[in-house]
Amino acid sequence: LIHYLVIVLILIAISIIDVKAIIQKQLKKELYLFSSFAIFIIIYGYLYFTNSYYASISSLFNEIVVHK
Amino acid sequence: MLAKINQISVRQLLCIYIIIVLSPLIRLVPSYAAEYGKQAAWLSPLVSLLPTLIVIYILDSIFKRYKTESMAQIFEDIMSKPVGMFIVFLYFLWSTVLTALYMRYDVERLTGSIYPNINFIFFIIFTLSQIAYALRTDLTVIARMSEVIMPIIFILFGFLVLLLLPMIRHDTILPISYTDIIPIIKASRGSSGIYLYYFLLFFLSDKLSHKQKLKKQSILTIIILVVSTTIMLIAIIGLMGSSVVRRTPIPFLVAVKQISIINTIQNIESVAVAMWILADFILIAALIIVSLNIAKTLFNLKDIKPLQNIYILLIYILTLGIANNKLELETFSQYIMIPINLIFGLLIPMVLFATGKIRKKI
Repeated sequence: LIHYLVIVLILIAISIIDVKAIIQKQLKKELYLFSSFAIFIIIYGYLYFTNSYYASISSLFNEIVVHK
Repeated sequence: MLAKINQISVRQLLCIYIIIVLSPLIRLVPSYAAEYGKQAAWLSPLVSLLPTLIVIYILDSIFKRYKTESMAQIFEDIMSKPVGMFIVFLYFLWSTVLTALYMRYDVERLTGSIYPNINFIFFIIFTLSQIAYALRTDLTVIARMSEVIMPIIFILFGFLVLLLLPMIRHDTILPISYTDIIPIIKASRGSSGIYLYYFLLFFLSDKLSHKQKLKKQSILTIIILVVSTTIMLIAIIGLMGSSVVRRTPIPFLVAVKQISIINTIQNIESVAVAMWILADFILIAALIIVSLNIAKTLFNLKDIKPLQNIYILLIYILTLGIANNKLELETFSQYIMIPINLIFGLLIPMVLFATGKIRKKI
């Protein structure tokens, strides 16, 4: 999980820099999209780094389409 | 002269297009075409010319009516706002998955060819941080870079293919009869799926000038690409035979490894790898720009610059998660992404065109 924690730290660093710029320019929609990306990274990253099988996009689609 | 300082010309966009299709063409098309087309596989790019020409004519008709709008705005105008937005959102997902897919292919190729002992995560971080730095500037910088890089890549590619040609065995690419027509059509899905990235690039249409030259220059570009792909397939299948090519992960690299000039200059596959690194850099950067431009119109954003870094971090995590191994990645690419490419590159543009004609918008 160290790799995951490093990603979260990078995410925090990016947030500090870019959210500051977004707030300064008063860009509401950009802030929502930024938050959505951040939430996705946190949730998907957690699934991937805890070895959830379906975190692999290919496994999921291959199982549905190729091996059905 | 360009209409605006931050606009790019059709010629520059087509330079980007040639670079971004060259890498997947070299990687995927030989094995895909050989699997379905056998010894006649080298004819498959000629079939792919037809769907690409259809898309060129569709886009030319659309841009006669919509001169300054982005493709996302065109979708919303022709297909109504909710339907248009939904389709554009699907394009956003498609381009995001494509970016992660090509990022992963890029690093898998490096670790699988010349750096087998280095963790692929290092290459992902290295490439994405370079792209993040390059994207701090404008699209025009990537476009000008492509104008410089495209001839270099094309000359290197032509040089390698020319060196392969004398080693061809005629029995591996002949004979061909009318029974090969269906296999050739099936084999053409691979090259069509890649040529049809053409449509995706036009999500940058609001940043495009000189659209009146679109049809002529696009037809010329696609003919050059089709001829190049055909010669490449003749060289690879002619050298190795279709049964070997379809079982080889990167047939072009294996073929290039066999080049020997007067028994002195050998192992020139590093030239091919260098060419790929350059092409993949432009490919991934262009796909990120396209995705963010789609997001800009889709969510009605004023500025996408603050979203670039987090989007690149999202691509990083998707690159890790797109597949557990190379076999899974290739299965995903062959059985899922190729049909999806055909849907997004050909079917939806045709539906857009038909809807536009019915509603008298085009």
